[in-house]
Amino acid sequence: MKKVYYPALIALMLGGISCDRMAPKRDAVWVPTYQSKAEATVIKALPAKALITAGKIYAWGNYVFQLEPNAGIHVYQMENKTPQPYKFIQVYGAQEISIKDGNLYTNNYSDMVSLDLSNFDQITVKARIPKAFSIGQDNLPPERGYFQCVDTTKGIVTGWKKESNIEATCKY
Amino acid sequence: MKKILYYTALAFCAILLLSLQACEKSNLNTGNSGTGTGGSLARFTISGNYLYIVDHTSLKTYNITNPNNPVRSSTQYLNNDIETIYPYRDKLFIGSQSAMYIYSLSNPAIPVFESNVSHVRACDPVVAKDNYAYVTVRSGSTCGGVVNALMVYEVGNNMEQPILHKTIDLEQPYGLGISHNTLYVCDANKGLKIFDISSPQATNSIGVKTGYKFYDCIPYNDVLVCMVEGGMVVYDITNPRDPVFVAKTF
Repeated sequence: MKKVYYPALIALMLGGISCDRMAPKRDAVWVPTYQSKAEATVIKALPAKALITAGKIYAWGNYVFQLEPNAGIHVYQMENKTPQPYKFIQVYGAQEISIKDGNLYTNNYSDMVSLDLSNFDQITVKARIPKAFSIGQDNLPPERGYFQCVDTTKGIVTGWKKESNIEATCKY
Repeated sequence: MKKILYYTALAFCAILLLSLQACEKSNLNTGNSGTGTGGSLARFTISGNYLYIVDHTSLKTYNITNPNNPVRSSTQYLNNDIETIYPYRDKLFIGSQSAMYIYSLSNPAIPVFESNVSHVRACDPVVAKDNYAYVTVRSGSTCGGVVNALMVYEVGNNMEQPILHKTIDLEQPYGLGISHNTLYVCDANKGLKIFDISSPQATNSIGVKTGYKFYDCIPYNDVLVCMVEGGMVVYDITNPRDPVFVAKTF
């Protein structure tokens, strides 16, 4: 029993999240979507691909960069003042970029990572600092109300979707 | 009522001036070393050997002298609506939806809280050149406020007493950038507005580029890289007053 109540207690202490174990099924309930931690932390160079959502921009050396929010970083090589699609660096959760001396600093969800840019075919992670950047990592849905409690054993919460007929045991 | 709004806007801008962003954007950087150039909405910024990060609630400082081992040298807790960070001279300016926080970087490893100004909405970017600052004020759900304009301030050496010289109404201004005596302001759907700032007190419009929804621009060597809805657009600014379309990425 102890095991059951302990997380609920912590949740209560942390942010007024309440849990009702006998909650009825509800409609329009926020349900977390997960990605396994193993998958979420894979950072790698991929072939260039089309941008879907325009994020922040950055310039360094002969390259320009544009964030694909939450998915990674588009890399363009400048040729005759024209950005040529060059690579896509997969970094799930990425929103930020800053570069110094060939080292790219970005966020992999809430982790800050430094990436070695010396070989764009083989991006390597030089360092990973967990929980350096907590944007949208609060494990809470976009709006207040009932939601399906987060089960961290399922991995990292990558987003939320509304579903019906869900036993929503958490609320904030 | 109008007067109150006007003074609120004035106060708002005066505070923004405290957040002068050095004209980093026009720095030349042709090699693959050195520090890159970001836009004005960043939450990560590098100054010297330190990486400063703001998330919703805190400012963290990392010594990145060894990129294999960034070492956190400081954590400062702030309010819960932090949006942007930028260094200027020996200070860090942190914009939130409700206040502007000013930290001293006398010791870059440990920013020290100096002051904050609340009751203002401070999420709009600023650029500076010489003794003048160019500020955009944008209203809207995120930024609050009531004015959409470019404002030109003389700041001199005393940043606490800026003098407003000019206000130019705009539609929905976002980021801005300076190349030589030309100022670019991203006015969303109304285009990229171009201003002559050779005489800052007489800043005047000299052109506009339309066709995209402009959010931010980075003057970089002789090109202007713009973040627009859908991707990036690049202009040749060999003649800064007359950006010539070169390419787009979409």
